[in-house]
Amino acid sequence: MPRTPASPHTAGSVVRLAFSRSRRGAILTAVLVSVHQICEASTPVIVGLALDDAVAAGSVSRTWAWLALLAGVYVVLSLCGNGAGPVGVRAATRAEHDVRQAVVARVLDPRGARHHRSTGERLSIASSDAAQVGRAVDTLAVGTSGAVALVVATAALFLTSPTLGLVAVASVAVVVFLAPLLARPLQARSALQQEAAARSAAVAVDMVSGLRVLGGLGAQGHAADRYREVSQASRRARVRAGAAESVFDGITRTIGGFLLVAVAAVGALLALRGELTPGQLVAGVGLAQFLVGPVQRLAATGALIASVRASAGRIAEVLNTPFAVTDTVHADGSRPHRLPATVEAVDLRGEHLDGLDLQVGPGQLVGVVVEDLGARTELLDVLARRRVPGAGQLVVGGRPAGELSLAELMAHLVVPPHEASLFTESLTDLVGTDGEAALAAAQAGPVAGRVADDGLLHGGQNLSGGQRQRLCLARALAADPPVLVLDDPTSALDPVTETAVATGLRRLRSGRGSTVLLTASPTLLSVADQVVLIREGRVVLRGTHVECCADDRYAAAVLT
Amino acid sequence: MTPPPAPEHRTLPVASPREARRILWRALRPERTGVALAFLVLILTVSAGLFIPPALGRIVDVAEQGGTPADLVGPLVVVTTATVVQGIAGSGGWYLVIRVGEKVLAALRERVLTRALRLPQADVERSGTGDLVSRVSNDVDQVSEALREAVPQLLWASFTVVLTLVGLAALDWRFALAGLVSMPFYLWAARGYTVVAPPLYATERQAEGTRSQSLVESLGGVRTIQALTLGPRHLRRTDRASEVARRTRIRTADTTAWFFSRIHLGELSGTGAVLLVGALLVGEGSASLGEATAAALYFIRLYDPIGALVNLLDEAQSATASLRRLAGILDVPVESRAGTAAPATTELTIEGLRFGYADGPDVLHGVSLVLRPGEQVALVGSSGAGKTTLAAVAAGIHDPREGVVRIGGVPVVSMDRDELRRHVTLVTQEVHVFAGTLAQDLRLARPDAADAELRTALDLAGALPWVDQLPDGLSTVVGEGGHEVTAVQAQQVALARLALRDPAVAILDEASAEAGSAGARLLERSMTRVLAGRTALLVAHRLTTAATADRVVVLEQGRVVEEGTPQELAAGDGPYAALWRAWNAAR
Repeated sequence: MPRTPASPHTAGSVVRLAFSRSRRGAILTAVLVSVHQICEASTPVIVGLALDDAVAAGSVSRTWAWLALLAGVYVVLSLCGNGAGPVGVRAATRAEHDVRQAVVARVLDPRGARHHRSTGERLSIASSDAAQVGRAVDTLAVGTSGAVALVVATAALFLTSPTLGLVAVASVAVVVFLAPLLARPLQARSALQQEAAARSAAVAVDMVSGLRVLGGLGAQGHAADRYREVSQASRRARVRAGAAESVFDGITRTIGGFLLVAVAAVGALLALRGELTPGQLVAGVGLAQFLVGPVQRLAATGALIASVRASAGRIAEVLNTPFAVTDTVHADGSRPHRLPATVEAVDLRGEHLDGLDLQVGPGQLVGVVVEDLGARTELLDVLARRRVPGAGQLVVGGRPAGELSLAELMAHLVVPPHEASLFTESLTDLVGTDGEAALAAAQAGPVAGRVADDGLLHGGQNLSGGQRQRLCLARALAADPPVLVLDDPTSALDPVTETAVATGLRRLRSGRGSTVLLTASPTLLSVADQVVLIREGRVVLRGTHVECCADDRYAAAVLT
Repeated sequence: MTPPPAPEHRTLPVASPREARRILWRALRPERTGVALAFLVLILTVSAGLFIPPALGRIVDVAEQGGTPADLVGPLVVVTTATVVQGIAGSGGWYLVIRVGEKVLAALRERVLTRALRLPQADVERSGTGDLVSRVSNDVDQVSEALREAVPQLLWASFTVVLTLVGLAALDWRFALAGLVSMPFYLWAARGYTVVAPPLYATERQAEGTRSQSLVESLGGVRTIQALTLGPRHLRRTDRASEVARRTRIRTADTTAWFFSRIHLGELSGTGAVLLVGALLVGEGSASLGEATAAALYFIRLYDPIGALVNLLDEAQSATASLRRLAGILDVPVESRAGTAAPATTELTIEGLRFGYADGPDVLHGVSLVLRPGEQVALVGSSGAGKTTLAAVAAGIHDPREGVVRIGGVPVVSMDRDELRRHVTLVTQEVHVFAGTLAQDLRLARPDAADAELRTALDLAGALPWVDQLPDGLSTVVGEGGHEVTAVQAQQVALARLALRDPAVAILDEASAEAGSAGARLLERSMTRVLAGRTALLVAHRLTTAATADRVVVLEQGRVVEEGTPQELAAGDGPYAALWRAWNAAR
């Protein structure tokens, strides 16, 4: 049974993971932005004092003195403000990068996944959502600086007049209680909207990936219509989320405005009673006007947290995807054993398999003909360890597969998928430095020559099906594992080439390891040491190709 | 090695900034009423805010001159009303902006995708689908972000700046003049963002494109990577691509950070000038302290919008880079062909066809072929002989360099693409099951097909038995992320689409190639049923397919080297006979 991780990932743990290497940068950013905010908060105070002390008296020279002080504050403000950008980007991109790599690592984990996501969805999670998690740096900076500025400005108000300070604190308290309440519906809508956006992006990517199919069918128009549907659904979700956002925004703005009104009213009354100078009133009003900023920053933090959390949640889901198979971890951390080049299936049972026994001896080339497609897929899945057999076991190099670590298994038994992918990489990346023999055996020399001109494969985009298949086969042969399982490796080749590949394959593998060919191609089967016919989930016939051809069932499966 | 960024000639075109703006403008035009309404409400919001500083100034004057509490009522009512109006109109304006913005955005992304799907295939093959994928995902994201965040803020900020200057002038024209002292610094900052930043953004985008290409390959090739234990290598590869993208981001941030100082100089100089003018005016008695206060408050209120304005230039620049890439797609000429008379017969004639990809050498060297109505012709030859290319050119996917393809006497180049596909359909080598329900996939071929028709088509393709076994039948979600179908099933779906499309001429490119030999026989039967009564050109891999065809054409290195009935050719000693012998050797 797949193991459940002791502590499944949560949105919070994803954010912690993202910032495990860049915590300091994130904190430094928050500090810099906060100092910047404090300097900004002191601007209205200095202006207020200047108005009171110099402007009220109409003194230009005293005004200059205040401006000198203001300039000093601006030097600090500028340094912190400028520093915050580069520091913040470093932290955010580091976090984004780390969480992206964690997603890629999970998707590529050899243990596989029990449920699949589309490439478009994976891409969107590894790019957009990872970037969104990186924005937690901004969230932290905006939130912290908002709080710091709020505290400093309120404190300054208290110093100006305790009464004004109290009025400000009361108003801020209202906001602090209200904001989370208001932000809650926002979060739900934001999540829905992001989901709809992801779906629409995934459909776009899917359509573009199937471009040739659509072109051949002339279905571009219909495909565009379908995209329009999901795009419009995404638009509606976005407008719904936007409606909530704008109401939220309006309320916080109004509350900030009321704060200003309250401070102005109380301050003016105090000034009328002579408890406050006009300058202090100006400073107070300036501060109250400034306070709207931090209050809005705090409110915006709510929305930012919501979208960071939504993205982190999706990433957590990927990281939590249960593995398809478990890995046996050796307590002693032993290195892989060198095992004999054999593989054996013992009484495999499952959905379509019904007591399948198969032995592949060292150096043997065994052809396997499976009538039933379900059984064929299941056998391949079991061999490739994408699936745990319902009953029975796989014995690899004389040892039960369950006892071997996944690394040992994968090094010993390689099962490349039939529709294998090629990547943008060099020929050396594909077959290694001494891949000549493998390329020759797969009849891929001429294609390789063409690739060598450019240097890169570009995902094999400009190659024909047969050319791609030969390169994939060469790659599998060059991997040179003790046991190689090939799934119809010549299906896209013409008979003359196929014959050459069969001979080359036979020659290259003999003396290196054993090979299993799942195919019904007589050309390939004729070079096998032994062939087996699987019907109704078990082996019903064994022998050489020539011997088996006498059997009607075999002939029907292979020769027609 | 890190894959280097795709060289320029390999990518799809990028439009000029002017062209990009024109495309945005065209997307906005149909929504001009909504845009105008949103503008009005935003202007109302900003205007309401303008009443606040003078009212606060009046309160200061009352306090300074020792008025009564009753004198405060007027200004306080003004501030309160302005605050409420600002809040309500602000909400409404924001909502209107979102509504109209999303409409424009949806229209834009739909237009881009629609066009992307209709790009000449040769262009896409040359640049790879990665570039296109990155444009319909990343660049659409970038432009969306800008339209959602930057544009509304830009509007709000510009209204605020202009109207506040008006407010300052209303107090005293010299205050407005003082405010303008800051302008050169702001313009200097803006210059940084518009001149220095764009090339940095372009580099950033390119690095992101490479990263996304590497992610697409690694995340899309999971099975291959797992089977061959290439995981660590691919992790390193995405790691490197992502690091490069990260470094370009950092370089941009490092350069642009210093532009903020210019903004700060603007704030400092403007505030200083306003205070100095205030001191002068108060000194000479032409302004009250309250007015000087109002002027100072006005200018302080400008910090945020001006900062935002300059900052947003930054985002606008980076969005323009993306918009140019989207406009680039819209720029690729898609030849609109005038639909001429429908073909009278279902005869397919190919005459002296020469064709090569891009600037490359000819792949087809003068191929001629006639398929009589209802005739089924198999195309055989070694791989790389040009069979796939011939199939694509015959289907009118690519235009030939020389020669002509006709259906019932009508040249395909003179037929409207949609019209053409009603007569000729190509089933490509590559199978793709579209993400969504199976019914949705099939309806790509015929949107108005009833469920019964879908079932009939699936039955013809031999797919009904497994479709009936699906958990939700036709409504089962298939394709990436859905119920996994086998290669044979995917082929059957492709054949069912063909049956639904119901063309007179069908071209099948290696339709059984990826099915594996066990499935190939199953598919052959499906193919026979689906193709019955149609003129068909089959790129055949299994010679059994060729053996049952009416006629066989052997293609070698872009030339027809042999032609005849399968029996004749097998009996001879030409290339087909050689293939036939190899095929039969093990039988």
